[in-house]
Amino acid sequence: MEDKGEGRGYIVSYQGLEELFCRLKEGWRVVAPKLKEGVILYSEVESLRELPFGHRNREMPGFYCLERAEGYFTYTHPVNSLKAFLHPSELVLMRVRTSDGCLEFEVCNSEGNFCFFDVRACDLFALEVLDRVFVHKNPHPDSYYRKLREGAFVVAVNCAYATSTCFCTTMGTGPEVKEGYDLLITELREGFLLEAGSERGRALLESLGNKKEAGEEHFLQKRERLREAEAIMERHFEIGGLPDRLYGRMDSQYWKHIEKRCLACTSCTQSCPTCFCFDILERNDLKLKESERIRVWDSCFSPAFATVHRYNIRQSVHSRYRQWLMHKFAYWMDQFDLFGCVGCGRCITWCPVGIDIRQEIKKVLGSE
Amino acid sequence: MRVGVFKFSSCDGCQLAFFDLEEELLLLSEMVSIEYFLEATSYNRWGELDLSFVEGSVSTPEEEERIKKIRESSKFLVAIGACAVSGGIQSARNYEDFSEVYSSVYKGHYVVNPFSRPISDFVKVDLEVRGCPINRRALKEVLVAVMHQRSPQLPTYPLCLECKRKGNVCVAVAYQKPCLGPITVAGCGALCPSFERGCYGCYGPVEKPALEALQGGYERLGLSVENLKELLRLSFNGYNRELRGWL
Repeated sequence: MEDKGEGRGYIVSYQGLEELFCRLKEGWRVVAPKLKEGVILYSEVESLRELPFGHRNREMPGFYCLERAEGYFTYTHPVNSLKAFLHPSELVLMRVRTSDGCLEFEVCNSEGNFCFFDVRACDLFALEVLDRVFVHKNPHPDSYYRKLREGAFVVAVNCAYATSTCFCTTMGTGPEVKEGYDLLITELREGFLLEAGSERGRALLESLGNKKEAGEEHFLQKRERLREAEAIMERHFEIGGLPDRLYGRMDSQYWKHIEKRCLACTSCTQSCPTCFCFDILERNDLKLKESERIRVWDSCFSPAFATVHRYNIRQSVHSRYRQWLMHKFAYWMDQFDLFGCVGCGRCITWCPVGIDIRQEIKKVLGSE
Repeated sequence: MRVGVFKFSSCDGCQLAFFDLEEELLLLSEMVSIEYFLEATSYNRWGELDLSFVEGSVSTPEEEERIKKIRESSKFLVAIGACAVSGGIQSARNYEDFSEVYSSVYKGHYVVNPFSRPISDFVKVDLEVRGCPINRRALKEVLVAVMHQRSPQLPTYPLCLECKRKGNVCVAVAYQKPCLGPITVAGCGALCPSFERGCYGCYGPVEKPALEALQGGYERLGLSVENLKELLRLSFNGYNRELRGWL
């Protein structure tokens, strides 16, 4: 067991955070939330000032906008997720060339060397989910994911705010960051509480210049901030025994209703931080001298997804919706021992017609 | 392999995709025999063809006859672009009073059909390449696939998937702009949403587009049924089989 130094921490000022950021920049490609195109997106950033401090994302089913707010970490998770960096939407897996009558293979396996800065509890949990999907619970661990993920340094942040589509308390993933981080930041009245979650996090924290030991009152304030976020969120359904309750609704009349509302546009699956489905494409040149094998994001809502020998086994929209919902909240548990949903609410916000998975689950459970 | 490129009622833009192939076009001309391509060569023969590309919609009685002859002489026939696949922008007239449209365009007597139709209304089409115009990536994929006898990998999924892969922000959600992406086939590289405007559907509808669901969902963007129908009629794909019944 690593000594996480439970109940220990330091208070730093904004300058202290800047010092931390500069130290991270020396050794890592830092990915953090950034203002871009009128939204907040995880991007590679050069300085701490690029973070969207003082902005607040307002989200509703099918709606997103930004407002101003007092403070620094005033927003929740970005629009995109860390999936974009660890399971890129288009990844060249290998190239094959013909040279003097022989085939030359080049495996394109690149390293990540990422530092994920300002990761919220839901997205941190999503990393755990992806780790299991691609590596720990995968009989054929994925070398591409592993190489991008290996050694990633994680600086997590506790949320003091939630949007109307957040439901981490329902899924039991947040708002408090509990594990899987190197450093944890909580914004308090007089500065930022920094806690270490790993040995290397601790070493970095100890080496920072201007800091003072955090006291009892700081940890009390941290609890208060988390309670502020918790208070915004409603508990939508009980997750205990959820897979079994859903299995009992496989033939429910409910599913037909979604046919009239769902576009099968794939937006929910693409916005989801844990949806991992992909397709493999071959790109050849005219003379077949060179070929690239590419992995691209796919979706269970895509019409060709369930096409086997030219027959699509899920032709109706509701059969695709059922597959998605059941995978997230039931089959995933059988496969990976956890839910495929972390309660971030991205699928709700980014559904062009505002379908709310929380309401749909309640409807499925309440149906006959 | 003998290749032909034919044009019907259209703007010639899809044929230009062949020229977009640039140096690969030269390579292609060494690998295949281009038998018929008015836009590219003065030496045109029209005999038996292994692969035919057809641009344009069928809008006149003469075109109705010509498309049948092309079908008879072609082993594999590919419809290229919104006109050939869905009737094109000129199919907007299919929803209007024909004599009014006719007299606003022509002075004198020309033989023009009241409807602009996709070529699949007249002959069997082996493959459709979407877009207004089609793009070189799709054209190259078809050429490589047909030449090497594998199935072409063209998207059948909605634009939203391509848009998200590209890392775009959804214009319908973030900027409240009506976007036809959810029911439009991908392949353009999510061009319009990449510039913060809604997709206007030039790649045509996906299989069984969720029209009612889109209409219901977009009411919050202030889009009425009539607005949506007009968008689709002007999407260059208004007479696509998946849309015409609803419009």
